[in-house]
Amino acid sequence: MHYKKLVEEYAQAMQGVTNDTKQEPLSGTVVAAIKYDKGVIMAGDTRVTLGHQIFSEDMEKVFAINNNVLLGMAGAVAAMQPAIELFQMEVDYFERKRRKRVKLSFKGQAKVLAHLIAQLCGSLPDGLQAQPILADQHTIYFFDTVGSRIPLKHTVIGIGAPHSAPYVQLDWREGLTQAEALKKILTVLKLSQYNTSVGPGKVIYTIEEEVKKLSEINQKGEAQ
Amino acid sequence: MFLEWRKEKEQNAEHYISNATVLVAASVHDGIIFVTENPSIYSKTAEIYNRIGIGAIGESASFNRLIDTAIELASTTGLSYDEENVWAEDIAIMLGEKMYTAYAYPELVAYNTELVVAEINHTPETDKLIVISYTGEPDYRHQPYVIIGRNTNSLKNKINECLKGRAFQKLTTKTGIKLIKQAIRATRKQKGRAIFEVSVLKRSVEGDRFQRLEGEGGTS
Repeated sequence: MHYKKLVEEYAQAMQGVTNDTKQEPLSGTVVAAIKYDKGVIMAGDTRVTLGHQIFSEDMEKVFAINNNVLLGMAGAVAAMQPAIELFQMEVDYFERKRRKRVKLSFKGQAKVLAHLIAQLCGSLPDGLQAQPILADQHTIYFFDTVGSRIPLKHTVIGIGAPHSAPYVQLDWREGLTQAEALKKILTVLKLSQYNTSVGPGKVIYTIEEEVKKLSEINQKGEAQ
Repeated sequence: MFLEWRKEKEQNAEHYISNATVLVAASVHDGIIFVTENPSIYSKTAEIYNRIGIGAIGESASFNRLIDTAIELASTTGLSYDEENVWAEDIAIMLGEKMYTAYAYPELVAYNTELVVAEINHTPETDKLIVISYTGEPDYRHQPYVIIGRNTNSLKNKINECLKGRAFQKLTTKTGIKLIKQAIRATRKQKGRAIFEVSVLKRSVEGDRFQRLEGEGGTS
């Protein structure tokens, strides 16, 4: 497909950048997704950093793709943004080619994203320095940085994950209510914020029949 | 010099276009609407990019190829730059060139289709409806509505009659669609119930604006 050329171009452009800055991916992020009885809840922080410097406190890292899928991203912004744009284009391209009479299925979308990651990873010397999660109403797909996709019930990615993922894992069960899932996800955001350089969590999305943005989280870390 | 092959191409295109049912595209208060009769499973209207839609009549193999090319061009432009930088003119010029080349060279097969490329903007006054004939000649005139097809005078008169002095720009999507359908029903020559394909480009929605309302893949 024609987008492969764009991926190659992007990989070439990124080669110089990653060669000069050979280091571990700087990811001061936490994005969590938890499945509950009727859908999936996903939340993330909004801080952008470079080393110790904070650039922004309001860049959203959870995106609604065509209002039926949620995409969360952790990692280097330079790797994140083109990956999201390419993914969004690939989904739209599929639907437009079919005159918008059908939608690309969730499994199809997960496969497209996995291929995209594998391609970008293969052509970059340090691999893709970003990690996505993709969720619809029933499943959460976890991706690693080389392109494998694993269906899960709950996951936390980013630097906040070691501090907060065990908390989610410990007493997660089938048939969690939305209120319980919300409480859990707020705790994940708080734990990450207390223990690492992750910024305060600001946005929460849920996906049931369609994507819904819950109201903003206040200073105390409570959803309003 | 009399060009036999060119005359043949013209006849061929005219045959397809004059036998096709007409398509009306109109720029109304809250969107751009495409209305056409279409009982087949092939869509005559499509989304090119977020702000750009297309309507086509004639040979389906011809316009399907053209629409696919336009989608590809728009996707790459939109990815490299931004949604705002994908213009109807760009699409129209590309399609026009393609159609002209096919029409003007004897060894190529011409596209037996006529198209309307529509771009939605903030107001109906800034909307664009560009008609491209089978010779590849784009018509950039600003018009509140366009009809593509042949023998459209009676339909045009009927639409003007139904409008009763109102302008399309003041109408809502719903009334606009109702009006055009009424005019098409009154002037159509085919017998039986009319099956419509109706699509809309919504003005207020951010991002994904193209929606199918009736016909194959329609939501209501």
